[in-house]
Amino acid sequence: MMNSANSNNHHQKHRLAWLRWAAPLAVFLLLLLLFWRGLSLDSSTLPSPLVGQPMPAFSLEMLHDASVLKTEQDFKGQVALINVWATWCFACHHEHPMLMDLAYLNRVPIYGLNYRDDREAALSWLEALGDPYQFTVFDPDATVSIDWGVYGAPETFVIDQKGIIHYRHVGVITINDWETVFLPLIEQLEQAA
Amino acid sequence: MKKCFWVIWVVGSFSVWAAPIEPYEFANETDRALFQKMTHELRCLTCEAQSIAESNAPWAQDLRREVYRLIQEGGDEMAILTFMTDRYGDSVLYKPPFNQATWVLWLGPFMLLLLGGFILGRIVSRQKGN
Repeated sequence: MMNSANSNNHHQKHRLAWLRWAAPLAVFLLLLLLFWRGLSLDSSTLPSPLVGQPMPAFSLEMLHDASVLKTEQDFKGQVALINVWATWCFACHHEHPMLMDLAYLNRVPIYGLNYRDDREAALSWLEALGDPYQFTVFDPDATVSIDWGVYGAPETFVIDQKGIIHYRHVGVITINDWETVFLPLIEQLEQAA
Repeated sequence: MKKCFWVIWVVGSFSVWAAPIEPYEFANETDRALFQKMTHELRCLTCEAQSIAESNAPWAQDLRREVYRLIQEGGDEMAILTFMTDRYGDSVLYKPPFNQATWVLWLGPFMLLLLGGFILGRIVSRQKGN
């Protein structure tokens, strides 16, 4: 009786022996896949639902002259960058020299969207560090920035000639971003027109 | 000494509950309740793991103001959710919709539960057989 139970048990064990290494291996591979995917996702840069859409309409004062109102129509005409910035934004300090280089390069016009800022502070920033923008619109209470889906600064939008948004970049533009993402997209948009 | 530590720990942890207070006034309780509900259902994108109701981040303040404005303009729950997802996508929702990108998220736990139950059942029936 005892013997037969043992042999039965032994038989079962033998039959399922491969599970002993296959099951943990399968779990390991599954976790590897999940972590590989999960950790390579950057949850801080969200995709913008505005990509593929026309620019949200707005009417804002120009930073340099409160009596001049600018609208989204003033951004149209050629492929352009719209850069969301603020003087309180630490990363914007980092990005500013890059924007100056891009302005010097003069590949595409850059427009500024000043976000939740103080006009005097913003003006003296541009005075001290240089002004890379064609012009900047002033959005102190973020009403327009919210329509653009802005949730931080800096953010940079690429628009085409007709004002369709094609890309939203969250964070500082690096030289690598410019060469691998912005420039190819700009060329593609210019050729498509 | 130990007691002192516990008192500090307990009192200190209350600050986490401190909700931002803004002088928003509502015409009726329905609007107030809708404001509470919506601000708790919208995720603060600039501060991890907080709703826009709980966060003091400037961005969350702006969004509370927008929710308030939409309610004042007569917007219902659907109007507010559409306003937010049109600008910020599904990431702004604490309860993401069921779609192609999220089905694993929604069904994953149940599939794991089923798998676990199946394995448990196999083990139990085998032991009974023995």
